[in-house]
Amino acid sequence: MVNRAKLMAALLAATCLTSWVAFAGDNASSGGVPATSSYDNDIELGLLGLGGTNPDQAGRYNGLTTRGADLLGRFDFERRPTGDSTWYYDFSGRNLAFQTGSYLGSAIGSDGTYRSRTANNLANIGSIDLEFGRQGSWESSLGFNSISYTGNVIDSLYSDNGSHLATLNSGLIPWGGATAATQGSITKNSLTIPVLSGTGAMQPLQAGTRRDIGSGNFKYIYGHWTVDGALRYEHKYGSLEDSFDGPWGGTAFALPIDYDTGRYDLTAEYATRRDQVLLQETYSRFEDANTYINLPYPYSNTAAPYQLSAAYSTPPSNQADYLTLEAATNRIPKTRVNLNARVGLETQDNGFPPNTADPDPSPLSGYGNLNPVTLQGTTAGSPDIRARVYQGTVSATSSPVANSSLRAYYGIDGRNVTLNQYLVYTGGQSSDARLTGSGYVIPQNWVKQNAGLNFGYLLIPRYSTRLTLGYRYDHTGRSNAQVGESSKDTMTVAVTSAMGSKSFARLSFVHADRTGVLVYLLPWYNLEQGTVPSPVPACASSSLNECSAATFEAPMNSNSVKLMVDYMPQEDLTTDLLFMYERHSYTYAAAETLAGTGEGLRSDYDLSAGPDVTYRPRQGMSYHLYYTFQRIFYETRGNGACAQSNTGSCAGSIGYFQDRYTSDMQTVGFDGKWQVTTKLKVAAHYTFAYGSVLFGLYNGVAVNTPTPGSFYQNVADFPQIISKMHEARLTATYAMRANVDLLFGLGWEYYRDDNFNDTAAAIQGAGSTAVNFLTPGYGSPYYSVGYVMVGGRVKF
Amino acid sequence: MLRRVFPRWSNIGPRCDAPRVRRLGVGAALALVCLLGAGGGATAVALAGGAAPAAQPTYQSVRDSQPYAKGGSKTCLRCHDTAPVTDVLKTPMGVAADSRTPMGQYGCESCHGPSGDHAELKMVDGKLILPPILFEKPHVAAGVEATSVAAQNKVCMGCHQGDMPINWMGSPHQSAQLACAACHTTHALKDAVLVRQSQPKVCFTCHQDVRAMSYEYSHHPIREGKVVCMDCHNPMGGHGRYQLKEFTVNQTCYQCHADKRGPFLWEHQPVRDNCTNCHTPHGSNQVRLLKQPQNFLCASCHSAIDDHMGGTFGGAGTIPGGNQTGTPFVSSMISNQRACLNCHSQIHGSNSPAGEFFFK
Repeated sequence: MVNRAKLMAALLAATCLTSWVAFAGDNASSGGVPATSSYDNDIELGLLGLGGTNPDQAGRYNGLTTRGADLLGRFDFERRPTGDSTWYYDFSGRNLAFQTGSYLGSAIGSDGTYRSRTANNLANIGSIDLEFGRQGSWESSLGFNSISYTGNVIDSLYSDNGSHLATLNSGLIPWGGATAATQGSITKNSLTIPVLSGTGAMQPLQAGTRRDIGSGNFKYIYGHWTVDGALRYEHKYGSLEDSFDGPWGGTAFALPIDYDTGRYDLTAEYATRRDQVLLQETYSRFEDANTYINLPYPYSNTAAPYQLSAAYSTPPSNQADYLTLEAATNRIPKTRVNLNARVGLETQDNGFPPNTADPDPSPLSGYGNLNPVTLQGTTAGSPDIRARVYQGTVSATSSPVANSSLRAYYGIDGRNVTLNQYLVYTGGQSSDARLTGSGYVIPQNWVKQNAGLNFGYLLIPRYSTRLTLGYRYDHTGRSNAQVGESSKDTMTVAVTSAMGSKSFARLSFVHADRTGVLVYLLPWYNLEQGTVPSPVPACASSSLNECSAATFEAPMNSNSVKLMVDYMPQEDLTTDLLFMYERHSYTYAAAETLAGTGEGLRSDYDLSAGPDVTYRPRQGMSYHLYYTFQRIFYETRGNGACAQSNTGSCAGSIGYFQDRYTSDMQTVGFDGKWQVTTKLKVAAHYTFAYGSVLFGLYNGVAVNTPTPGSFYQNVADFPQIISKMHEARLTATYAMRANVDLLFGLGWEYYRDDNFNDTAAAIQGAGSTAVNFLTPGYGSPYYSVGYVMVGGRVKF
Repeated sequence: MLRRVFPRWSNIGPRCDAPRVRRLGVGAALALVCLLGAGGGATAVALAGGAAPAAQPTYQSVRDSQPYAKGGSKTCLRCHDTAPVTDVLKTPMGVAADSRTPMGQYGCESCHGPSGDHAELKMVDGKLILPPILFEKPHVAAGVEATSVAAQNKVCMGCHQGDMPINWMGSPHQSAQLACAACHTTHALKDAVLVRQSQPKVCFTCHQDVRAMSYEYSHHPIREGKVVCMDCHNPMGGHGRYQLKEFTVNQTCYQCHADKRGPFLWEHQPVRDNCTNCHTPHGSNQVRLLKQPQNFLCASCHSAIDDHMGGTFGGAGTIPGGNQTGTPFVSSMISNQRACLNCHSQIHGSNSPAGEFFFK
């Protein structure tokens, strides 16, 4: 922005944003080396001591998840061209950490073997980069990066028995000992809670993943031409918490992650002052080492068929091929024309997992009975799915008259999926007739187009007061959708202006309307039937109480306001103020008269506001303080036809519900840097984030005596959830000599929220024989860790 | 070899074939400065043998029509000889042997414009003549008015038009009158916005709402330096909305989450349409960057009776872990742990022939 002071630059030059692991960056050499320094290289080594409660949660994103001592390192070796030479290299390593006792999660492989814990000791959060070449002629780079994530502890029925074989815990046997023809000795009804609890049927597993990413690039420059080849290869491994359909809920297990993703780009660019053209070929391949996971259940069904295998499918391997064109020209006076276009093919031809039942043998699910096999699945071996995609934008930006700007644009985004047509059969019990049948799988295709104009004019040049008007039209056509065609009009008005010599402001307002005819359909109807019959079965019958609205297609209007103000009362003080508000409202006209029909999301809004102050009282001292309030709100309503009274068609167990979800976040932050003496530099950082999540549930049906089994009566709000996060860090750098620094740091991180803390235990209802193998998912997280670091930096 | 011709900031402007101002020796230049003093403009012209201008030139006109400094960058460095000014000499822009760079052409004046009068400390109307182009930050902080955004950016665009900045004109940041120097710092050993560990903080100076979201429990590891803004966005103009590097939201996400790309045999339409139908990528108080808790989120679309919605929200058994005597566990089942995803776990799509409800 014009006249916006960026005192933050003084803070940013040597600021490291990462977590405490790389706190040394607060006083990094990159911004601290004086101009007269001849040091181009430096090495940092340090020892970090970490302690506290639940360090695995504190380090879930930075990889340092265990108490104890860790070795930290960072280096930067570079040679810049000098004299007549253009040779250079830059070899750097950041966040290099070695810790003992760090392991990733465990999981079960497709062959039933159990993946042992993967050590995560070395460079689990680090990166190493090498760039070299002759500037202006050719350049190359190699890089390694790793990203680790520590997930939750789950309780699973499966564990490692020490021989890396997956076994059911506590003497549980697959399918309760059932054979294809005979019932097992352990059935759903005979597996009681005391059996599970007393023999430790549930064992904890730590989920977690790690990505190791290698990258390389080579660029050659010849005149106006630049040719660039790049590759990125990633191996991701570990496990994530997952669950499969079980009786009365899910059964948790650790999904094995063994992914390989490669991306290869070849780019050619021709660029002159007037014209630029870029052509890029991109190939991406995703490989999943597992097609499915075999998960034997701990008991057998009480009635035939008796399943002996259950496959849980995993993400299929796939690939994508894109050809991208970017072109731009300045040949038309005062005008720049841009063209961006891409065509691509996304394909997936992975072999199907075996035709098996759901892991859950309960007859209530019924989907995919094993016998006879012809009643389920398909005789084809793979889907051979091809998605042809294309996107493009063309724009012209011009200044037709003085102090003005005009931009016209058009964009398109299309998707057309084809696959070998084959019948997919679904099994089911006779009482669930609609689920028995066959049909073709039909995906959704679309063509989305947009066009618009933006006009800006400098009204008052003296104050840089500028008015911008914009209009955009969107049209979306979909197949297999609740809204076959929709259009959207968006209008934008924005004003920016300096207010005196010390302040600048930007105010914008956006209004959008999306229209279209929403046809309620069964959620899966358009995925299974060869053609959508005419007339489309309406969602008026009480037997079709599953019709809901696809919010992302539904008619909607939105309004948003954004205000940003910069104020600099004096040259060493900058204050910024932000206010953003955006609200969407959705309409489902047909739902009001359809008993049992859901509406969906009715409205939502997003609000952010707060000041940001930067102050530099004197050379060598700077402060930054900010506060941000953020609120996110959603309101959803269902079963729209029912009135609040428990009468008529809504008598008994039916009533409409309405839920309101409010999530607030307040964040306060402080950063300060002081050059205390010529040798001593100190930096401090503190952030406090306070969150509150409110759930408001309303059900219009209030009765004195709730009906047993009723779902809609006397609904109670979920309790409010409060979260608090503290992050504090104090670092110091002492220059022992011109090329030797001592580093010291202290830090503390704390997080707690009072979310539902689900304990690990199977649940059995009073008077019921059903067993629910629910295990903790995202229970109340809490951590409080402190750390101290000492180290040194040598420059040479 | 590509030869960059610098934009003309005046009708005359610098050109590679224009006659350079005769370089005076250092001593002669200093003598000239001492002799000229405060009102040196017209005097300098007279000394050069030219006729005095008929009308008194304005400050701005003099500023915009300066000759190049005698001695080039060496002259500038006589006064501006400390960091951070001299840090640029250690960056790619300071490689004199590369004729594409500023130092390979007119040195400091490649970006700041001919500043000969400034180097000689000439004054007009009692004010020191400044270089024609002054960028933001240090100069503004020192109380010196920066050049207009358009003029600043014109300098940068003289070289940087292809590759990432190719869609700069008409982009959201350009439309917001943002100067290149608002984000980039050329006079630094490392440009903070180009260093992964410090890049987000540059963006957060304006995008404060995103900063707040990065502190929420579930977030991309942005402040940990593992995922940064430019991994998804091209702040100089992307192909589509939100200045994304790829053409759509989903293609951007598939860069790292290719396991969701499919296509799947059974597709979940809002997933295919846009990942942000369910996720908020910068941060969330909910798990997995979800916009709402899982049963509430699913109810945004699946809100009819038989979508278990009664079981999701209704009855005395709503509170997780609780149950009403005589009732089944439907309520708690759906409200606990992963809610709807306890059973419908393959929510991004399933490749199992029997996976139409995303159970497996």
